[in-house]
Amino acid sequence: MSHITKIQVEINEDLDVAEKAGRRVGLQLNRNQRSFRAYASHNQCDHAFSVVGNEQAYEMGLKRRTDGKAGYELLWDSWSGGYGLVDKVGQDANLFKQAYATETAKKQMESEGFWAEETVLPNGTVELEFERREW
Amino acid sequence: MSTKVIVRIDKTGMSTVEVQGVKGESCKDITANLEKALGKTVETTPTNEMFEVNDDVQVQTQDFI
Repeated sequence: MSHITKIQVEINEDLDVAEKAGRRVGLQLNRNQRSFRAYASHNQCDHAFSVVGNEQAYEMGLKRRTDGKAGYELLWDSWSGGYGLVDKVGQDANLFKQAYATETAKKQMESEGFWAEETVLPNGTVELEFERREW
Repeated sequence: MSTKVIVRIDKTGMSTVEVQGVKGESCKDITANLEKALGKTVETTPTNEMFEVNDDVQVQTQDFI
C-alpha cells in the first residue's frame, strides 16, 4: 500500500446514492417531500426518508446545508426510538451513514473503471475491494 | 500487475482508503476523486511504497561529446 486516508462521510448532492443507501437500511426516499414526521409538527426539509412498512415511524429529513457547502444534513427525531426509525438508521444515523459511504465509494470507483467485491467483516465494517486490471 | 483500492467503512460511517500496487506519489491521483466524494479527510498517512520509484519508469541518459 502507499497511503491510508481516513474520511468522515458527508452527504453530498447525489440523491441517487442517497436513495440506494436508504434501501440498504429499509428506507424509502421521498424526493421533494418538504417536511418529515417527528414529534414536533413543523420539520422542514428538502427530501425525506420514510421507513418501509411502518407508517407510525418518524421520518428522516434531508435538508440543504446552511454552511455554504454543497450537500445535505440529516435531521430526525430519536425520541422513543423514532417509533422504529432508529432501529433502521442506527444511533446517530450511523447505519445510514455507513450505507451512504458504501454506495458513494462504489459509484465513484466503478465510474473510474474499477470493479468491486463487497464483504461485511465480523465487527460490522463493510470492506470494499476495488481492482482495475492493467494489461 | 493490478491496482487495488481497499475501502473499509465502519459502523459510524468513518472510512479508511488504502491503495495497493502503486509506487510513488501517483497513488494520490487514484483516490483523489473517491476521497472528495466520501466527505471530509481527517488524516492521511503515507506508507513506504509511496516513496518508492515506479518500476515502469525508465530513465535514459545520453553522453554528449
